[in-house]
Amino acid sequence: MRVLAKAVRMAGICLWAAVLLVGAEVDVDPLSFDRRIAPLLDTLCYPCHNGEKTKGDVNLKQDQDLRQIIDHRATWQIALKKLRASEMPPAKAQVQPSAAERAQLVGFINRTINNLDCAHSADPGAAIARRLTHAEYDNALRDLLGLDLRLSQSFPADGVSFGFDNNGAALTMPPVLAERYYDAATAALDALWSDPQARAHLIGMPPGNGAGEEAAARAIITRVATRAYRHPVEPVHLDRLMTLFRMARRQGLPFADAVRPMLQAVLISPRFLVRIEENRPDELGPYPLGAYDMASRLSFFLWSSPPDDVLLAAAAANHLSRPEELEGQARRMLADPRARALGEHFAGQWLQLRALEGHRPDATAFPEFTPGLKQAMAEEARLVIDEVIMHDHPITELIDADYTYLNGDLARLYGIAGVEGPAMRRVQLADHRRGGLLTMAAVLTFTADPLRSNIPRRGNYLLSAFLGEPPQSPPPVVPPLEDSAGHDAQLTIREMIDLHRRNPDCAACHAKIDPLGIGLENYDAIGRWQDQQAGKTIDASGSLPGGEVFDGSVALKRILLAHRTAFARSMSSQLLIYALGRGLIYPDDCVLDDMLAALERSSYRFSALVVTVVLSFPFTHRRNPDS
Amino acid sequence: MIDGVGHSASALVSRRAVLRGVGVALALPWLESAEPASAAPSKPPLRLGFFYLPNGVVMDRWKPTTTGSDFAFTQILKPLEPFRSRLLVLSDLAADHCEARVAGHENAGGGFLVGATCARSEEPKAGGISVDQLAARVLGEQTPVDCLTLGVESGGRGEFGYSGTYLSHLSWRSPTSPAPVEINPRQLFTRLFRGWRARSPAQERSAAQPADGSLDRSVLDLVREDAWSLRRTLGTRDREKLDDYLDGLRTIERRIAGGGVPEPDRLGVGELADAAPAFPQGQDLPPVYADHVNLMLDILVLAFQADITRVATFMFGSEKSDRAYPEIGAPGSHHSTSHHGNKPENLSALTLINTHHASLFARMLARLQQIKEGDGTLLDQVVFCYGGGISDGAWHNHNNLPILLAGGGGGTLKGGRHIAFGRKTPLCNLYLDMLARCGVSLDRFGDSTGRLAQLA
Repeated sequence: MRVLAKAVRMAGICLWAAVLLVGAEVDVDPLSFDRRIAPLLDTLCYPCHNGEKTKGDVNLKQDQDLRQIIDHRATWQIALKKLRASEMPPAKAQVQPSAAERAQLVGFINRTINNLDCAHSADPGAAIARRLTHAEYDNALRDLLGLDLRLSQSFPADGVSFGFDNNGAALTMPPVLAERYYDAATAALDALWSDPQARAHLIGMPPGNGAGEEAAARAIITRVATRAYRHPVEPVHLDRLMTLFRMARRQGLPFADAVRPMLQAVLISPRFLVRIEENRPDELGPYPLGAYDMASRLSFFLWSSPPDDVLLAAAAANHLSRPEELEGQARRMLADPRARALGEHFAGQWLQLRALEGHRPDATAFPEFTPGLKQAMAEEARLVIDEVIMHDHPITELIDADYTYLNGDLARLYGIAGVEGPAMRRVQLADHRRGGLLTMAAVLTFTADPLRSNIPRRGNYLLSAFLGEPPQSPPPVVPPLEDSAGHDAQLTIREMIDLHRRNPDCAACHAKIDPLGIGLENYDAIGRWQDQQAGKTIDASGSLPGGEVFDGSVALKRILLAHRTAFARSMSSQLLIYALGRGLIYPDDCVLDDMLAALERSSYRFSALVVTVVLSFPFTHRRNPDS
Repeated sequence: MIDGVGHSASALVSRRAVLRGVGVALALPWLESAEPASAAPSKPPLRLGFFYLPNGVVMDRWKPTTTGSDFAFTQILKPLEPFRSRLLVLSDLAADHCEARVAGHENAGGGFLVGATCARSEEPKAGGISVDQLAARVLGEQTPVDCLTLGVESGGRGEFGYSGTYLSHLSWRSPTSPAPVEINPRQLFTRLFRGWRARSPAQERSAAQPADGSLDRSVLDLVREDAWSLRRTLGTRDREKLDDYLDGLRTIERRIAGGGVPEPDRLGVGELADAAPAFPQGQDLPPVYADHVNLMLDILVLAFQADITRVATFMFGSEKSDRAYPEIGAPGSHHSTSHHGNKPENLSALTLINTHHASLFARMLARLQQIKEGDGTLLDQVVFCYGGGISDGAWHNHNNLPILLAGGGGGTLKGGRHIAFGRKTPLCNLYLDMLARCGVSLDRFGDSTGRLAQLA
């Protein structure tokens, strides 16, 4: 019975898991889990991680076969790490494994969840239709009408998943948004009607009456709808749009005004607002994307905009199925100013730079923090990122670089002489206290509190954004730090952090978090260099769990550069999430490996990442949606 | 500033203008003018509201020390004292559904009105449909807008494998469809009032445009039919999205047809547009927190008064909000301060924030009380839950919650009391009761064990 139940369950699993299982069962004695592993888990792990007791929100007991373990791979990945580091079972647990038992468990978990056969497990993930993000909507209207209206400012903010606002699942279409789209379409057409030049560009001059007029209207709407839908339009759909034109003419509207209802319909059509990719009903598994869908994926990824004429022509000629052509297009587009969208939307969200906008340092403590300075901080980050993207620099310049962009205000904040005036300019740096994102005022400010620096928050930021190792959540009940210290107002934050570490409930995670933040302790809450705090000289030295010691941000950056693979993998996974508009699945590990290899081959140049993503299996393939 | 009215010297809102809009131009109570002289006046409807406080409160400065009708208002609740007879302070309510084994804030926001915990996932998945949305499915049938979801902060990124949406969204249309939070007062006002004029200025300029809206309707018909044909090609999840969109198109159709839409003139909205709140320049949000909140709540009051909607949620801030309140003497991050460590200066700052929120809420109650409706005031016709899903921000506990009920409930609530239930009582019992008062009868909601006793 049990075997049968298992077989039935198996029938429903995705292809790659099946492939993996077959692979795993070739390697491993199929009964080894029940016979050898389950008893170990039972004595070592289940006591705290079962259905009722789930310390750290971890339930290992729910996974009773290999497939379930693979399904909950992220959890088991952490378990593997903890087992390897002998962090689990905790020292206080009564039952401890022998070295051999630990090795056996580690070997089993590793084989089960890290045994991806990239030749056989390619998977594009579930099909999902992505609604245009607000930025994409604005750009699409701009390309369509020739007017940069930024109407999405009136839309409610999009949800954020995995740090990005372009996640397919989170891009919902609530009724409120339908109203906004309708009003925005009306506003856009109002704007077009009040701009004779733009209107003439789109609609042209009214033709003579009769058959010529019909043909002219059809030509207009064919052109507009094709561009708006990013895809050739079926004649039957054009026929339906034309009924609106005829109706308007019958009601006595002049030619241009009679075209308008068709435009209104196009602008509120889901074909415009949603990227609906073509199905191939006959295909059971993944298949290559259609040419126009490929063009859209590429341009929304690199430009946050619909495809331009060159890309549409390449799609029409069916060139995009050739990898060299696809790469050529990607490189062309990366060099185009529209690729700044990657800096703004990808890097800006990955590195959380949008947080600066809403952050307000205390005005009394930091009168220097003017709107102008804040603007310069944001610009500095944007310009350095643009330089890496547009000029294809090594991505390690985001950790440390010998240049940055400053204006007079920002240079004064940094204590750098010789830069005056409001304009931002490229500045060669004399030392490494600046250079790279981490030591930029923008990042140092939004990772601080309004009044003071915040060591754990800065450490958390570094771990999450730069090293791709977001700390686990703190226990919901955080014991007050001062209980063991009394109310001593003169404690520096550094001293408070030391208390942090003495508390066993906090210590495990904060041993990783705090040192990174401490390394940045020489920068105050608006990113200004400081040698002293509360009358004491700042001690920005620390040691990392790996044993490396450092003193201050310059040394910390050097360590991060030495660990550049971790940074590169973090950035790669973020870029892949952004490009695919979904969370990563197990087979995506193969793409990440390819991205890292491409970086190594290219001295870490940014374009290596982009080209590898664009040519990857999940980016160029899809499957039919479940129904 | 701490007096409760919360207007800065450079207030962007002309209070008088708004009052004129509310008190004079909109003096016509709910649909009274529409009643034929012969018919018996119909009973004004109840309005349901949920006003959310993030990051917990200083409970011993919130909770009155005695129960019953002669309780003394605490420091935090003091601004609400003028409305004593329309208030019920409810102690010992608990929201187990706000509990998470890790991460103290995510479930508090995303679970508060849903009555069930959220999935630990970056792609948001709440435990069900929120209580306001359930109410809106019934009450929203009778109004142009089924419900409003308002706030002053847009959402951000998540942490610890939880979607950031949970922190900023109380209201869930379905487990995967959080209702977007509107934070821009100008846009909100336009949507609710001027937006209801069916014709755009350009169309008005076009003399030949027939006024019957038939073209607009045909445009919508076409898009709707086309969307239906697209629907077949989509997966289950995308279909759900498209259905939401189709719902929205229907709302627009109603607005064009004028069906169910209050006639602007009858409700004085035309005049209101002239006496409208003074919005800040451009698309920006009011820079001073109190101005922003007041503007949003003013518009909400108008929407309730004009019967444009009967259900609303409002968040005074997102869970885990780092907002600083330097203007009231609390310049630190709200969230960091809420991890108070029992330090006196942190507790004082938190108390200031908690009291500030109460003042702003009290200001709205004052407006509701100024508006005559039926035999009483609009305040008599509301049921508002004010409170949050975290009790103490340092402990992230979800029992002993700060909750109070405001409004007359259409004469069904006996206010002026502090009720301590004595033992842990599900917050969902309150929801069940609120729903029932609005005519939405459910046997259960979340972990409810029955309607809350003693309210009437």
